[in-house]
Amino acid sequence: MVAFYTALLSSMIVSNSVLAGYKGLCSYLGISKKSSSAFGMGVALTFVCFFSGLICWGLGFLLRELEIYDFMFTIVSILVISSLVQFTELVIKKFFPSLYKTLGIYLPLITTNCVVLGLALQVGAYTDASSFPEVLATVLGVPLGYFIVIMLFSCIQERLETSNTKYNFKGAAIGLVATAIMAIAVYGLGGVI
Amino acid sequence: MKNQVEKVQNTPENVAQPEKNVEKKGHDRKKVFLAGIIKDNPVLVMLLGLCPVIPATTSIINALMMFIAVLFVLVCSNLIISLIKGIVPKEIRIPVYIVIIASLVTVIDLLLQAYAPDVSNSLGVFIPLITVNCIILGRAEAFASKNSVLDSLLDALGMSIGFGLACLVIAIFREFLGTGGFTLTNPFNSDQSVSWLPLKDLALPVMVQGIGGFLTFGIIVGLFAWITKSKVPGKNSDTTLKSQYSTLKEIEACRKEGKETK
Amino acid sequence: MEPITILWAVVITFAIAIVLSIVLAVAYRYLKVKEDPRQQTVTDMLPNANCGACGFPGCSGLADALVTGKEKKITRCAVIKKENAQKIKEYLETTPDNEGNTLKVEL
Repeated sequence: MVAFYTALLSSMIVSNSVLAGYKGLCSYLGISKKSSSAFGMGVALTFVCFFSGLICWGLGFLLRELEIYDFMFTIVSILVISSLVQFTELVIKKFFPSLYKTLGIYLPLITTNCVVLGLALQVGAYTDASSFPEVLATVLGVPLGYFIVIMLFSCIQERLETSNTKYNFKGAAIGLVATAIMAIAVYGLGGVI
Repeated sequence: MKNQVEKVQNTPENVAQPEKNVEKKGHDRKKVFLAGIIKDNPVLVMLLGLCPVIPATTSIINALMMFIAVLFVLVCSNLIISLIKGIVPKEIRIPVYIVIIASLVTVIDLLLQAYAPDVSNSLGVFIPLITVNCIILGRAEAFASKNSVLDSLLDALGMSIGFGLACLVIAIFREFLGTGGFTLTNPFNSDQSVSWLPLKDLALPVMVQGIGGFLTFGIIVGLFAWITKSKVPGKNSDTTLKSQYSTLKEIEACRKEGKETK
Repeated sequence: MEPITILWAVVITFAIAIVLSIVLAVAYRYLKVKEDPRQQTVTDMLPNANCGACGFPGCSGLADALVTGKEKKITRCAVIKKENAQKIKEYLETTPDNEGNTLKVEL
């Protein structure tokens, strides 16, 4: 149980996928103009990460049995992820139409989100079947960490929109500097957990 | 690079409508090639493919190897996709492109693991993550599936050179400030290295880590926008500018009203 | 590398692709959403730059707003050419939806 919570907190905050893992930056900068769309993106990403992480963990065992893991895992995971994103798009379009309209083209863009593939590759490296609590914690913690960061950043961006940034630093440039300051906070928590 | 800045004309149509430009550029090969370097630089202007930038710019050698990997994958995928663009059905084109790109990335990943193991270890999981790099899939979708083989090849070269130059500039800053100088190790034989470390005692190791990465990247994006005097960088540059104008105009109007009533 | 390894690689990839496409086909059949048929046509007629300049999330967002009547001006789109906007206007004013109403839009 302790291992579960340790893994959850460490994947959510200490090894945060954006601030400490540098993944998911394209959608991080692109979607966080409004906090409502950032919220929707976080929810959709949690859904995709959870299922694709578990499926890719299982497939990792299968591929290792057949000795084709080293060169086939990337291709197989990306197939699983892109199909899962299509499936999520269909589900969201049917049951949450307002969320679908908010997300627009960013929903199919989850396929090219580095967070999901990074998670699949990280989880596929677990060779021990008894590491399931850790895997479950990682698969939940990584998208929740991304969700927290994207919500914070969307609030910061909304404030930055109306402030008086100079010298063409508006938009992404000053947002990245703000991200650097957030990264300091996460870096400082490095030895705590 | 400064000479090319004068040649670029940043009219409002050119910057706000990259999709329209693609149709015009189909017949102007030089523009197709140069667009990826300055005007539509994938990293600094279009803000695509940002994920490998920060871990790859921790040193100059890492930036060069990432540039070579992205060059290989982008050129080959653009070539293959523009060759098969007629036979792929429209509904399944995205999974087909993704599988082609994933296979190319597996090839370069295994090559790097075999011949440059230290570089492969320091770049880590970011070489397989080239699969989902927005530049490659974006160019395949927006350009290679609609243009001829030669145009797609030039576009791929231009985009990857733009990516490489951006990575190199950021890597130079990060390495110089982070380690106090430059260290070039042979990627294929990591015992050989040449270093020039003039400011070793004044080095800021934080620049080589994530925080410095975000900071340098943000500053260079802003500086590039300032130097090329283009509009706000980012995909939705028009929305940001329009929304800012509406809010700034309102603020100005309020201020004027306040002055007049006083 | 034995040939059996290569064979397994091909077989597994095919098997996964087939399973996933069956799952997607079944899901598409049961999770289909009935939407206004004009919306897809209007989305195809828009420039599909997905720039967001109109204030809606992507070109399909603007098409949805035009078809449901929330947006009356086609030229909210910053990228569209005059002839194409005229074409969309004519299409929306002449094609009725399921209840037989046409839309009045302005350029």
